[in-house]
Amino acid sequence: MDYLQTTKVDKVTLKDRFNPSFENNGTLHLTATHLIFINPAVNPELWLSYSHIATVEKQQISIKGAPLKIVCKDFRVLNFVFYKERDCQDVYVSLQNLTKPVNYAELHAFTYEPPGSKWPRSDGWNIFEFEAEMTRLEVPSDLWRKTDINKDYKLCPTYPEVLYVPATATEETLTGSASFRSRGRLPVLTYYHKYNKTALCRSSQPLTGMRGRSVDDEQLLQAVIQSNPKSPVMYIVDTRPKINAMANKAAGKGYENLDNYPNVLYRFRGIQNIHVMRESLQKLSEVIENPALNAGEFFDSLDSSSWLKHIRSVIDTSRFIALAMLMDNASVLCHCSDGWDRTAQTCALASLFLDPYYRTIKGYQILIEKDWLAFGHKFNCRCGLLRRENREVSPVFTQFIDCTWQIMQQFPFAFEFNEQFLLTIHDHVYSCQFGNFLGNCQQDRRKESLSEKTYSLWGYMCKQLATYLNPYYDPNFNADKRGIIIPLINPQCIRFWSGMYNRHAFAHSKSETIEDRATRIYADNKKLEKEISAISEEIALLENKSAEGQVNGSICENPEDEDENSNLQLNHDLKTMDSSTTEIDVQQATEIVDSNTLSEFEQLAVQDSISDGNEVKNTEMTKDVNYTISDEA
Amino acid sequence: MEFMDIIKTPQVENVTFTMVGERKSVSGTLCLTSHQLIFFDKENKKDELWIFISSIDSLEKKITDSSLVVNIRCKNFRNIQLTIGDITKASDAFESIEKLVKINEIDKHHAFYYNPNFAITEDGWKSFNLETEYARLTAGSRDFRVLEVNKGFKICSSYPERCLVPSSVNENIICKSAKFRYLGRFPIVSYIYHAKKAVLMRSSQPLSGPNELRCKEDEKLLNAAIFGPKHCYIVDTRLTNYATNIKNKGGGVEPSCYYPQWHRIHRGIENYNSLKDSLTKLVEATSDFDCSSSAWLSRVSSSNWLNHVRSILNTACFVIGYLFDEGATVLVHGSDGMDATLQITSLAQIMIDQDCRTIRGFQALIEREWLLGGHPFSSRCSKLCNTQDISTSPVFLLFLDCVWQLQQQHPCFFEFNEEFLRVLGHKAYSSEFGTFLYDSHAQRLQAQLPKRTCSLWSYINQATVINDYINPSYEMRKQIIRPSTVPHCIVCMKIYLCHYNVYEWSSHG
Repeated sequence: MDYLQTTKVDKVTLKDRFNPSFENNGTLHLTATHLIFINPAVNPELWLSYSHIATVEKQQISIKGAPLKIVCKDFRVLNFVFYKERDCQDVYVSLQNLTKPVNYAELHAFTYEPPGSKWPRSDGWNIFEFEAEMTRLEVPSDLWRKTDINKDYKLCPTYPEVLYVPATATEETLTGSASFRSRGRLPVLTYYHKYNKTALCRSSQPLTGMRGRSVDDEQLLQAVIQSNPKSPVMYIVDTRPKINAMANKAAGKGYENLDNYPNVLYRFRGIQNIHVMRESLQKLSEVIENPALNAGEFFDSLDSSSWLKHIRSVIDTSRFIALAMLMDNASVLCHCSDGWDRTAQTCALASLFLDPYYRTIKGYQILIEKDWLAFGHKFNCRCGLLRRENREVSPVFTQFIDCTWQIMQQFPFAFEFNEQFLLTIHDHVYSCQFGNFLGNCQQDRRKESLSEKTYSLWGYMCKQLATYLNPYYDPNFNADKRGIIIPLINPQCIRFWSGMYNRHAFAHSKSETIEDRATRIYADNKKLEKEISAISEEIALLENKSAEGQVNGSICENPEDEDENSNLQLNHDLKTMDSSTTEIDVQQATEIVDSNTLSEFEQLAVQDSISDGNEVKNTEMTKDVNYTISDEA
Repeated sequence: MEFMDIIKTPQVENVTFTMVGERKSVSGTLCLTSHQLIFFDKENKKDELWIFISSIDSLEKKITDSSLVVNIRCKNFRNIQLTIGDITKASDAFESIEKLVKINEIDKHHAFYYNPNFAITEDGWKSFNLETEYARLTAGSRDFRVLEVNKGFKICSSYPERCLVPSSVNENIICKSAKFRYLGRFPIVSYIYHAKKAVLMRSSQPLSGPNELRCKEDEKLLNAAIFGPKHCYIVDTRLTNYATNIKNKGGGVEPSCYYPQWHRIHRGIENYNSLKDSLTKLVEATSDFDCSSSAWLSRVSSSNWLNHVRSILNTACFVIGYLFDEGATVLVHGSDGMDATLQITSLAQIMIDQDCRTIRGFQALIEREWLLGGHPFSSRCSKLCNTQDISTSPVFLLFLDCVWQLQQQHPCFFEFNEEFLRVLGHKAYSSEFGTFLYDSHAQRLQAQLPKRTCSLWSYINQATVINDYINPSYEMRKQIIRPSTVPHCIVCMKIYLCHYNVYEWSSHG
């Protein structure tokens, strides 16, 4: 609380860049975790978590007041104007203090309690287990084995404790290889494509510049080749441009000398390093913030930011890896410099292309757990969660999310989740509301016992799964090709994602999208289906009862009772008639759920919207009938 | 010249056919007829492909050692490559195709030789009735009436015979006003926003000339359309400079001293001449699959196409602002009033009137504003791009692109889908139907098109066909829709990228 110079400021204006005439005047509150702006006329209120704030900047004072510009990590830009300069200064200083915490304990995750209905803290913390995932991938134990050589993170501090390596590789080989690789990140298995027994391995660069060669490392790679009965060769995909790899060699690191690695095909792929990516995003942000551009200038600035070029290079490299495993039946070792940025992007994306499981909600979370969290992507540094030097910050994970979105655009039926799912993950990587992405590696997270002190994002997300469902999802998409998707990489297919970068600019004026509407229909159908099955159950129950009633009635001689009985019979007839119509509706509804192409879906949606009215009427009618029956019963 | 004289070789064997961009080749036989290239694979007959001669935008040949390669650019943005082994036969075929493509006489058009292969249940030539359409526009208001002022197309060759005008003006006023307007295109009622009694009118430029001549009847005609607030707007689609320069050629603007109630606004919509180059550049950008990201983006930018889209949409928004927000009467014109003007007036109606967002309503809008409004379809759409002809320009395509942008931003407001717009675009350029032939209603009547050709609407409005054009997310809503024209909201329309639909497993390494 010492950080707060002020907690409430009146007479603040929030300006809209794209709609300058819109006057949004209200009150600004600073709490321990959030900045809140309330204008009684505007709904909803603006809540901004401090950890989302990237920069705060005071600008030239004008007659209108003292402006303060806040740029957020989710690409929102807020321009406040304060009536009093003093207030502006106070807010500025407070935000400076609040937005760059030094210790973990200051992060929102350690104080966050979910509002409303609570759930156990452990929810979502246990969705991923390395062994379970490898079992799911059906990694054959005669070719690949589990090793606990990294127990207590002794061999490689930034790797998980459990590793999978070729069955023929000895512990000495592994230790030797680790000492030859930058930060001990030796080649290990990350994805296994069971259909053609090819493996995707990852590592960091070898220390060729310093140590020349390592027989152990060479043996390990030969063991990788031997573990693949289908091909006598393997690929090493060096995601860096060749010139970067050579520069690294001068620094004692570098790339494998092929003279020592027989049967290895080497490919440099040209993804730029974290610094280039950071600058690219910086330039992209300038494009996003500038409302004055015309269409031509917009494309020119987009071009000069190179952002789409970088996105394309990441997808291109991942596609290369996938095709090498698929078409050449070759195992692939992928590395960059440290093997935790570009390697994480490309390994995860290649797996996403090859395995439809990773395109489900659960699967995508597993993918992030495996290739990003377990293998030590430095979220803490890359996302600037704690006060650190800026040089380490880079939008590597943002690019991964962007790439996923690009693939979703090309294959709208192949994903169980929607855009909102990606945005939510991206937001919460930065929000620090959940413990998942704190720290730089698994060891860090264990040390801080995050799973006991904080909530998991996965637990939170699983409480509102319905908002993340893609209404077009077809679980059997491309089933004849084992669900494999190979995206196009023509520059025309790589698009600017305004849903991410311009998300907040037009939120208020957005029209309902087809997805929104499809989602609505989908949800309505689900609800109706449920209602139908509940009613059918009730009907079945009452049918039994009324059958009993008839038996009783036949014994009864009372004429009044008989009257009641015939009444019951009539109702019963009516009801069976209705239950047959409801059955058709169920069928129709399930058809909609099962439909697998957009056009089919759309057609059915039409039918549905036409039949919607009838359906509701039908269920209402059955309800009425039920009422009369249950009254009598 | 008879077709048979042109076609030297009716049939060529051993032709390899490649759809550029799909990287898929088929070999078979090529047949030439008067209006089509027919390509088929003799062994398995399923790969039969028809290309209308009229859909060919340009073609060129390349001779290699063993074969002749013919590159065909189609008006539907597809590129096709034919590789023919027999060089002599190939040259004959190429020559014949080239001559067929060059035939310009509308009389020889495909539409006159076409026999519909479906039973006509509804004659499209009759589905649109101008009287009912006018009745819908006036909605019983006595302030407007239909005058048969243009009988025999005497005062304006590009207007219909019966025009909708304010009730208080008579034929004399209109005739005088027509003389004062370029090509006789006097101010005509295009749409009425009844809630505020605001009128949308369109015309061509006044012939005020360098001496700022006046025409009192023209002033009267315009003032007769003022029912709401006393201030009105003239939206001139040209830049001020351009409009001033044209004075020396006899054209010009309404002198403000004679039109005191009218506030004139100039919008810099570029002349239709520049659109062709833009489209040519855009098509080049979209058909180069192997370029870098940077080349793609800078080509899209330098094509300037999206800026055209934006300025049209922006201007339409201005009109909506006056009409809907202020309730003021608006007159839109450029030079001829048959290109940008029609884009603006029809887009404004789509935004404001839910009827125009239905399939039938959109057809009626095209009939009323474009076909009866005198957009010279045959001249503008004779070629897509890659031509020297100055009257060619993708004005209608740009309009469809703008509608598509609206559709992208408000997907649940349109009864029709993207495919519908795509089909309209293609059929305007090359078609077996007579609907978009000739430059004006008068010419179409003279050529007796309803007797001699089949209407596009006859085809589209069949129950089986129309189904493909229905947007399942459509909900009838009366709201006005407005586009956002911030650059990131304007996207490249997918039809230019139609060759990317293919699932591809190319080799790598």
